[in-house]
Amino acid sequence: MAPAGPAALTVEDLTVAYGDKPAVWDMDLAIPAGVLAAVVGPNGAGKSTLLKAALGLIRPVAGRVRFFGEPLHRVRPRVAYVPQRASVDWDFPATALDVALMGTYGRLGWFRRPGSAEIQTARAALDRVGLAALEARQIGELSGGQQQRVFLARALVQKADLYLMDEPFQGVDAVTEEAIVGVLRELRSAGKTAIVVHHDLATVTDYFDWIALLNVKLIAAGPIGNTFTPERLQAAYGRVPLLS
Amino acid sequence: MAPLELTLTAVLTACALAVPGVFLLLRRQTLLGDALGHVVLPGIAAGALLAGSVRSPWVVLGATASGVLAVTIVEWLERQRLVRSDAALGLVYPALFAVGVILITRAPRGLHLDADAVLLGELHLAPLRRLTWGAVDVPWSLAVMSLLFVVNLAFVLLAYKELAITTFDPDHARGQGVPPGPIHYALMTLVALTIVAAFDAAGPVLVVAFLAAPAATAHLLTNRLNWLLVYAVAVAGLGATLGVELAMRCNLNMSGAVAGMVGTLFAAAVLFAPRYGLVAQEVRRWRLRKEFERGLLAVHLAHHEGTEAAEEECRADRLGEHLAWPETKVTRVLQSAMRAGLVTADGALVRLTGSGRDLARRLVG
Repeated sequence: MAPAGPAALTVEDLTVAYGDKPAVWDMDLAIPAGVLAAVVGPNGAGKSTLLKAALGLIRPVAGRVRFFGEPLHRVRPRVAYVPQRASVDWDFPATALDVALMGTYGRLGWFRRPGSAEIQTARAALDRVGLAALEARQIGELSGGQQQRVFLARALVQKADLYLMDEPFQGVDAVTEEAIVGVLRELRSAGKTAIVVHHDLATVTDYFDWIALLNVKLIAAGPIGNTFTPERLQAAYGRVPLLS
Repeated sequence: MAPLELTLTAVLTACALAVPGVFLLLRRQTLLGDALGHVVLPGIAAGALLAGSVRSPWVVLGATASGVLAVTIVEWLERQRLVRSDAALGLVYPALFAVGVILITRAPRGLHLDADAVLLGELHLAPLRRLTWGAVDVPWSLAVMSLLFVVNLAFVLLAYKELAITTFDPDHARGQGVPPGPIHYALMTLVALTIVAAFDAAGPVLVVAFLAAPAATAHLLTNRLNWLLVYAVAVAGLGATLGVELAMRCNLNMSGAVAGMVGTLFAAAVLFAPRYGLVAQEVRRWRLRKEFERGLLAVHLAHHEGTEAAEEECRADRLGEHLAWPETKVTRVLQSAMRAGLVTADGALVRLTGSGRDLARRLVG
């Protein structure tokens, strides 16, 4: 399958450092549109940092990032981000529906309030992740997996073409894992792209069709069939990880 | 009855501070608000020295500017990752305050500028300074605080969704093109401005009390942002009214009485808030325990129902031994289970009713 348009995400010569310690070192990476891509590597490999730098949440020391061939500010509505669940305070006074609605705020523009059309979109997204019944629940009273699905719903509401997800499978129950995988497959059928930081090597080949293996530097990237090999894993992890 | 002007001044000062106080609480920056109240001093001093008067727009401008400067320095320090955020605040706050004190002690004698005059407003003195404009004659503080209440409320209503999203998840907000920075600085500017004005009206103790307590009280009463704002304003208004009344009746220091009243409302909410209060939590826990005990009894009876052992296991006077419960507990649980219609007494035997059997089945699955 040859990618028709420009790559969903192109990273050129990207270096990101905390102090003088590089977390991402001179990375070149192009992830084609229409794939479900896993970003895989050991702890401290710079997976989350890559995502954050691409989105401009961390300023890179060097390098360029393009989404669909354009700088982010030109295509912002086409890109949605699902941060790690632990990055926010779940005591915030809001319901699941309130948080899902926040996905419409970018499109609404300054000072405009969401109306019934936006509420309908948010409800539909909650339904897609299996949380329709819990829309009025305070977010702090949801389980970890449910909170992760609220985040996913908020991203779906943005109706983006590219979804960047930071460890959505981290510490979630089986129901949530299934729901997220279901949504990922729906996204792919609809021609969307997802780039997902992923930890569980055992499920990589089941869930994804493209992979970027990194350990501060890019080790390998490409379709999963010829990239997810023991030699590459050894290079990324320093040993061959056990696939349970 | 307290004079209406005094009560109104207290209420509007409280409400003007309570509105931004809600967002300071949610951003875990209530202490920044407190510190802001002190770092405005160098700005006030510089403004007064520049204008040659304590009552000049330059003073307000200077105060607001030094407040924003302080926030900028604190955030810059945080970004360097050399000190933690609370330490950054603790470093910047005394430094700027000290600059203010030095500036003030260098002021010419004729200027009537000293730290007391700037920082220690007293609520009961507020009506002395008047604003007269044609037929209008109101306390200066009442006019200023009313204006700031309206401005703060307008800002929060207008930028409601921007404040909500940048407070809850700044990264996600930035990803959607809602920049957290400008929203944050707009909020901090309003906080600094309101604090400076409120110092003059009510003094520093009340300023901190109004900034922190109504929002914290409201947070115990609701888990919706819109209601949080409504409750915070209501608590602020109620506390101010009751506090002024209390001070007048009992001849107490007014700032102390009002601050005490706002604190009392908070304490009452900690204890008695319908859902999150300590009493409600304790009652909920107690109910759950009762329910669990009844359920356990039902499961035990269902387990042995219709077996040969039933004669032994389900006798009221043998239950204590089998469940390893003291007799008082057995009696209590049995009575509660009978009242709930889960069991009936059949001579010495305890028998499950239909609903008791259902409960046991539900629990064991």
